[in-house]
Amino acid sequence: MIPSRRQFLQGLSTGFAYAAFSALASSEAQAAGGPLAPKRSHFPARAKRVIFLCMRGGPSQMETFDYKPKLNADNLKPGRNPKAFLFGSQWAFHQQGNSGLWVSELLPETARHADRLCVVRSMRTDNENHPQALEQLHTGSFQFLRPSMGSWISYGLGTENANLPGFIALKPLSALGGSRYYGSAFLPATYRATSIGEAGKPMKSARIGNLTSPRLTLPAQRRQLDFLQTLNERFTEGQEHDGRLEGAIESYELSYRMQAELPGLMDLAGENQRTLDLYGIGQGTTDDFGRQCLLARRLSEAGVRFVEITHEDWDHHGFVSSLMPKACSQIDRPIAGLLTDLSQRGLLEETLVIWGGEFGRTPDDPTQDGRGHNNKGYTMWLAGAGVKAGTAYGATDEHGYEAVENPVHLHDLHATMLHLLGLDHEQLTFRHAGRDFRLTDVAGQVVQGVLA
Amino acid sequence: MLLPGRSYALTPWLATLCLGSASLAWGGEESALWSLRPVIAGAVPTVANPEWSSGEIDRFLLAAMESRKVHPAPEADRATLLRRLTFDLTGLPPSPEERELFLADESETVLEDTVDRLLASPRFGERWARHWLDVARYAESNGRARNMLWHHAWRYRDWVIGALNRDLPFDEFARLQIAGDLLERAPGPARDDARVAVGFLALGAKSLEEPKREVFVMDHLDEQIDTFSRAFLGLSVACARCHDHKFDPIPTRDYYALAGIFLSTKALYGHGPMGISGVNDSALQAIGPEAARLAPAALAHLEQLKLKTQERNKARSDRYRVVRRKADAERQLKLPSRDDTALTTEIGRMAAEIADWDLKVKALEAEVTALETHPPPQPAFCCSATEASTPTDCRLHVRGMTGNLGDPVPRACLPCIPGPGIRTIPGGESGRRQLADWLTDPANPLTARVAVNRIWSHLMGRGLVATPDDFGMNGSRPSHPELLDRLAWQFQHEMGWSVKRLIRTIVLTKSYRLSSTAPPPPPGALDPRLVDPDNTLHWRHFPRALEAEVLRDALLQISGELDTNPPKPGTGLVASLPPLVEQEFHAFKPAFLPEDLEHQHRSVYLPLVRGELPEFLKCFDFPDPGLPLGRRDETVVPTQASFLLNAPWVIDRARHTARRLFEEEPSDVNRRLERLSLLALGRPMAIEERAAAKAYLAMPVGLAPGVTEESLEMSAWTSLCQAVLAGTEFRFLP
Repeated sequence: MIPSRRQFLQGLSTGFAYAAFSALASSEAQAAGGPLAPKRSHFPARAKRVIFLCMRGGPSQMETFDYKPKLNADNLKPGRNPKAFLFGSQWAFHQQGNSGLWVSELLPETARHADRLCVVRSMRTDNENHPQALEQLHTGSFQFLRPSMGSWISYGLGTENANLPGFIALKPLSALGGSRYYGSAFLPATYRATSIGEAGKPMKSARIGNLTSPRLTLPAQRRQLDFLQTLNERFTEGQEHDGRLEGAIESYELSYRMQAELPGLMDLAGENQRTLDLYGIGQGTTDDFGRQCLLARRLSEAGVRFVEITHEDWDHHGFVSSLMPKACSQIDRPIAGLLTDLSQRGLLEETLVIWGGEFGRTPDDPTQDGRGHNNKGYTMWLAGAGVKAGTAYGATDEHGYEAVENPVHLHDLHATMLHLLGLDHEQLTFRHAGRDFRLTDVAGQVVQGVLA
Repeated sequence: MLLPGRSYALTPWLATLCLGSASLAWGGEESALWSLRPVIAGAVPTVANPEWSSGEIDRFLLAAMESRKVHPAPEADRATLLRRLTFDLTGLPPSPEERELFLADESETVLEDTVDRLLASPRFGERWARHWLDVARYAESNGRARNMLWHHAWRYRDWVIGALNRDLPFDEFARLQIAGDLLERAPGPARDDARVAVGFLALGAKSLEEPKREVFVMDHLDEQIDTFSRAFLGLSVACARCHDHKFDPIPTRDYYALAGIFLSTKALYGHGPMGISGVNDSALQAIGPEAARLAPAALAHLEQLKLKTQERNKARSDRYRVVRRKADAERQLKLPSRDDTALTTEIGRMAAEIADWDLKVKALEAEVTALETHPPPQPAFCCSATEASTPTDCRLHVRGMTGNLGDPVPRACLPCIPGPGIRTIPGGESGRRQLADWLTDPANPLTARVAVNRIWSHLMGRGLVATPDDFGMNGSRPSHPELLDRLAWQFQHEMGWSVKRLIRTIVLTKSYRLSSTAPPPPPGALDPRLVDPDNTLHWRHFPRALEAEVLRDALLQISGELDTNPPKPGTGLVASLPPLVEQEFHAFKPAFLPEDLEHQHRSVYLPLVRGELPEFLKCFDFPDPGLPLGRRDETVVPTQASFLLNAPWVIDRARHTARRLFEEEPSDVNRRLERLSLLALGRPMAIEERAAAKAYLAMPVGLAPGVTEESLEMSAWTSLCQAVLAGTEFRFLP
């Protein structure tokens, strides 16, 4: 087959862009000392960093942000699924703020930030099983081992703070293939998430492994490190110039500095009561997610590119009437607190906040108190840097079965996120096994309608 | 990029190369991809300085250096060489005693003798098996969403270790992994071994939970094709699943012709999650002398357990349905204007129904537990593969989609690869036997080249082709194509595919002995650092970071704790779990404490559960075994420094090292320091280092509040030993 002129030019341009980008990445990494050194974006960025609020299980859009009066009116009528009946929402929706965005009464505090949200009601993803859909949410692929979006971003942009990693995941999921959601796959291991805490265990007791010495005081560690560095330098002098040896010497210092900075960041004792209350920390329902939100703000403020936090309990096949209010009350105040806090500190304009799960839920149910998985139409929202605030983008059909207006595939969301960070999703590539891979595989379009 | 002294037709490939773009479609009559041209044993080049070395490999390398006017580095000193050899061949540091003997030995054959001693050591197979296990994406669990533990996978690992130790020729090694079950073998250990070997095909990560069978099957075939082609051919044939390979000459038709071979094969990896119907189960292969006697009852028992577990799960969910209905009714009862009496009666009825279900569920749970805990005597099982009952051609999937089927493609062994010719596959066979023959046919241009390059890269620090898993258009071109070809040819025709002979040949070259550092060039001469900063010419040795398992084994050896005996077969953490209890990883997770993942055998024997690697391995770039991998990352990150300085496991090794030093050198500080240096770094301690060490020992220990240790002196020595073991000299091999 002879390539067409278009293919030829296309090949030429992407090949060139890749070479330019990788040259940039490697020369800067060498000059500035390490793969995590800050790098230039492809074009001016609107957002410097991301906080991703991961709602595992697939939160119901009908109970949160996708108001469906027709569904409520048709309650108990037959739906598309012959074994089930339409199941209206039990909760009232109200229009909020100047934007008039519809938000459910289950999220009263988040509702006060309606004018800051860009609610995408027409999300789509390819798989309706939790593990695969979660994997696609994080890596763009549900079939193959691929780097997580946080890894891609720290590969593309480095970290803003030399004392901290570029990608941190709080309470990462571990059951059902979880480690794949935060891995760097074929990207260098530096870019994988540093984990804090574990799924299913309280954030309050989370620690980072091996960060501090279980044995020596800080001055004693410094003395040991000084002795160690004397040996290191003597060895390095006898060797040919080698970036790894110098990198290693620096890595001991970084490790030492990390223990000076990270425990401090993780210790919320310095926060005043007003801030703790803002996030609902110290109150049973909101404590755990509140801690995650506050920690996310602190890490983000300190320069971590991608912070992911997790709420695990949205898979409501039954007991919607009690589980939905419970889950919503656990996240409502913390999220409102996060948005208020970011905004008060002037951080919201440079931080992209993303909320959502691996899919949404069906408008019908056989038991009339649960909802099934729905990957054809669901809701996520964005807030902060470069996002068109106070808007709803796209729509599902009148009952909420599938996205019908301006559908946004997960690949499009990934492309948009990278765009806001100043990265072209088609240029952010990594060559592996003979191919240039990207977060968006061979798809993805920047959703212009959500950009400010 | 273009190789001097060759003529090139202007093919699109060449155009691609010249224009620096890689996205052009493939075309042209003859194969322009270098790796598909026949392997030719060309002449050894002449060199201007024949005194430098008379060896063939050396002359190839020297000729290239001379053409660029680059002078090679001098030879490394003997102690460095011994350390390099011992780490490279056995994955362990030489002991101070071995060092002393080696340095004192003035015989002419000392090097040959040492290499032969190391190659004959059982530690050799443990070291080199790990290289292949990376490529074979070996693990003891399925990974992905349903992370089933594979109790029997260790047999494959042990087979690889044994095969390397007894120097099984590489062609046979390959053949057994593709078609071991089909080769003529007398019943007994030889046949069992062959069945274990073909487990290679079964060890990939699969979407066991995938509800659509045809999707599962196609994804599984894809995984097998990907691993097979990258491991043995250095090509990613899997790219051709959806479209003709963008860069390499692999048409989609060839992909589905190969897929038909695996479609006609049953991988045997064991069952999926218990009690879920429609899950993608498979059987296991029974082996050993008791197989025929014990297997039928064992398999029937397993079948019974599966059904009973399903029955139990169904009862549980039926019960739960009533619980939900009852809760719903109770909620309705709270609403005004409801007919309370009828609803209350209904709730009472449901309560009784739940009580009934409770009894049924309890009884079924007891039955399941009884079946789980009282299995009949089990034969030995292994992961393996066997022929499907009806061999079938695979239909072409247009754009890779299961819903878009084209015509069946007759099974074939990658006709796009010139050389080994077309193999006819009889209707009643899968074609794996033919695939194994095709792969090891001397005319196959890839098999030997890829294997030789992998071995070279582990010894010399970088492959002659720098991308050992990619010999395609996007991979690197060989730095010394004639040398690669000559070695590939000799490997097949003169060495009888003997891995040990090839390794012996390479490590006995002068090139292997080069120092990793070079003095400044004499006046007027070119500085190789400027001419060839990437060391493509191999003018010096590549210094390397020790891999995760090598670092761990070395720490254990230095502290005197390494148990060089392999663990007793079948006693690994995964292998020794009760065979029939629910085998999904998360069910066992509470039992997998970090300390369970550790023992004092060599690291190759550590349990390898996908997604749950031992902390040490994870920290030092051990690959998560999901993809075949011929070259690991080599990262230097702060978490490694934190691990070496703060992990209790490392501190324990330092403490044991300190104790060992006091046992071996109880009285003299200088001798103790000397011993530490010899054990850990393989050299005497320099005077200024000794001064620094003594000054450090004299400083306050500074134990954190609440920490108590046996004595201040021992604490100071623990800190000292740790600093030496955490240092860069210990982590890097010059």
